[in-house]
Amino acid sequence: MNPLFRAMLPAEDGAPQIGDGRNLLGVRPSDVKGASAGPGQGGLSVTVGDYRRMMAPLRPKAFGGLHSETVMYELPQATLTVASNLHLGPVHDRTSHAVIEAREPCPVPAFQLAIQATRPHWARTAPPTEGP
Amino acid sequence: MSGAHDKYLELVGVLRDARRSPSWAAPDDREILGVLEDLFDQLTPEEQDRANGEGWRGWPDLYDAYMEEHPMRERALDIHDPRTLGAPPREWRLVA
Repeated sequence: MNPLFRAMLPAEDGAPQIGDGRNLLGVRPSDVKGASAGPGQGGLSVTVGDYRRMMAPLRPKAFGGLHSETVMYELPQATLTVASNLHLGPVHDRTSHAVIEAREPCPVPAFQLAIQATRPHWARTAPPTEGP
Repeated sequence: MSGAHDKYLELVGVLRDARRSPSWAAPDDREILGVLEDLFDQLTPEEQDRANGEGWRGWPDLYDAYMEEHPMRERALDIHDPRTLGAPPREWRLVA
């Protein structure tokens, strides 16, 4: 299965910073529609399989993007298990964009914790040697 | 080009110029990058593809190297002209 890419700000330990703002591991209030999380309700944006499809304002320089602080991370799809209550929503054909959603309906704070529990599984992606 | 694309390109230029300042610090970029992220969603699919291939325009070193190699290219930018599309690999080798 294709890995899930996301550009995020790194914490001191090298893993992504947790939070509810841009470029952090967590959903922003506007990322979830409605009062609770669940399938089709929105979630954490990722690019599936090919980081070159990620929008340039988010991508780090070494990956052909504009951002000066983000680091490219990747998450194996196998991390999104029933036990995690997370799954990958539909993937947009042209942009390879998708969101990690709550597998079953749950309160937004619980969904936020489930997203942030994936932190140890995000690995840094090595930059290409000759660009995208 | 759409109005959003004009604004997007203008802000990429502002970002690049800001990065030329000796006092520039990476967190200074956050506000403009946030606006660029929002503008990106308003671009047409063709404009998005082009913007995605032109991240080098936001970096003074990459931009200057590109313009040195292609001095007439900036003047000829036209999304409907395939000769102006895409960045040559040399710019990306500079990044590595």
